[in-house]
Amino acid sequence: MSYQLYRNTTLGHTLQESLDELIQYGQITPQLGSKVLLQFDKSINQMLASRVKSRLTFKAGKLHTYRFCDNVWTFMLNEVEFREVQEVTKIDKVKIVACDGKNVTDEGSSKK
Amino acid sequence: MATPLCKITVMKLYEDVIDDVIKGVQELFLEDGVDEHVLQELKQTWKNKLVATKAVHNKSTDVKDALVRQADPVLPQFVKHEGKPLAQNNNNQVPQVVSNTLVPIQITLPAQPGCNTGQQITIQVPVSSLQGNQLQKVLTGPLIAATMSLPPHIATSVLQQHVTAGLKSLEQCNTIPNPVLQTDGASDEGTSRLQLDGHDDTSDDEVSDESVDLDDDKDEDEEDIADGGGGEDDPLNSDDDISEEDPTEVVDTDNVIVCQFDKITRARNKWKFHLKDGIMNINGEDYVFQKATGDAEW
Repeated sequence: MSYQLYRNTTLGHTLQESLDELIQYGQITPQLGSKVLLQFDKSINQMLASRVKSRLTFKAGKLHTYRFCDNVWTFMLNEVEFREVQEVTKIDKVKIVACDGKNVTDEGSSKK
Repeated sequence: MATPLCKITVMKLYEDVIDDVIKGVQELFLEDGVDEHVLQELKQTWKNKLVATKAVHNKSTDVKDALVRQADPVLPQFVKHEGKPLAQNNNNQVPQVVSNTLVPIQITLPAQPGCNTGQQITIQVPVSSLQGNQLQKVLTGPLIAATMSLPPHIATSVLQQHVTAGLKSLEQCNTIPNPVLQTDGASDEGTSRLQLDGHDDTSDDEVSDESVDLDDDKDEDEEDIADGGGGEDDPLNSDDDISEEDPTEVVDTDNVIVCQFDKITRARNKWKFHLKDGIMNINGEDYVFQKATGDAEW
């Protein structure tokens, strides 16, 4: 199983828009479209886990709201400062959506 | 985060994901009886859309995108072929053609006591001068003031000469091309409209007396303006131009981090976050991280 939450990113959105266009023009079926999305889930989960090496820290002035539902955390943070080595970025607010990282690791190690 | 590690890898990562997805669904497309070119179209559309979001910066795509946008007002037919080999071949030749192409600019001069309606003057300028406020540097207050009282056809030729000459000299000192693209305005109807507010009445007499000898009296005119027409040194909507660029950055401030959590801990009102495998969209740009740790107080 791969998380579908990465569909809600720039890369996921642009894929869905592209698929919608092909479906509208009748070039592919909606069923094939959803299969492509499932493949995207698989690819992005795998690539993030294996290819990305960067680390960063952040510090928020305020945790505005938190929610834990269906094993998904959602946070709204205010006055957040991100730091990656010397690079610093400050933003007013950010929303964090986080699925349980253990699920995927377990699935990955068992290799189905 | 101008060029941190997590930023540099984003485009490469995204390209690899795209390739991986396309490869992964190839058989599904075959099973469904969908032609191979549809799959390639999906790949190209996806990439184009990704580049268009500006969330990912990549040198080659940036340049290509800039060329397509620059060509828009003059050569709209190229834009429709995006992604096709034809467009890519042409892109190599487009920039020279485009930047030297002349577009009409309409200038409305304020009404004068002598002639009761404001004059409209149309001059030709290169498309490239519409970028980076070049035109505003050349179309100075004194120049406008001097042409106001001239008959339209003379004013047109005077303005045309000065703008052409001014742009030429600007081009020589500006060896580094300005990356800022201003596509608004000119692209709509093929003409830009620069409007000037009325000149102070007091300065009219002096200006109209000397107006014919533009070159010699330029300095004097400048002084006149400085004395009498406060605030008219930047009459060509320079404020508007700046504010029109900003919204594109401001609009997308829906900052989101999509990731997985390793551990979330809380002691009283102090929270600690241990996150991994994240994709962030911050100020409209994408970043990725393997690990992120943070804290906050509730």
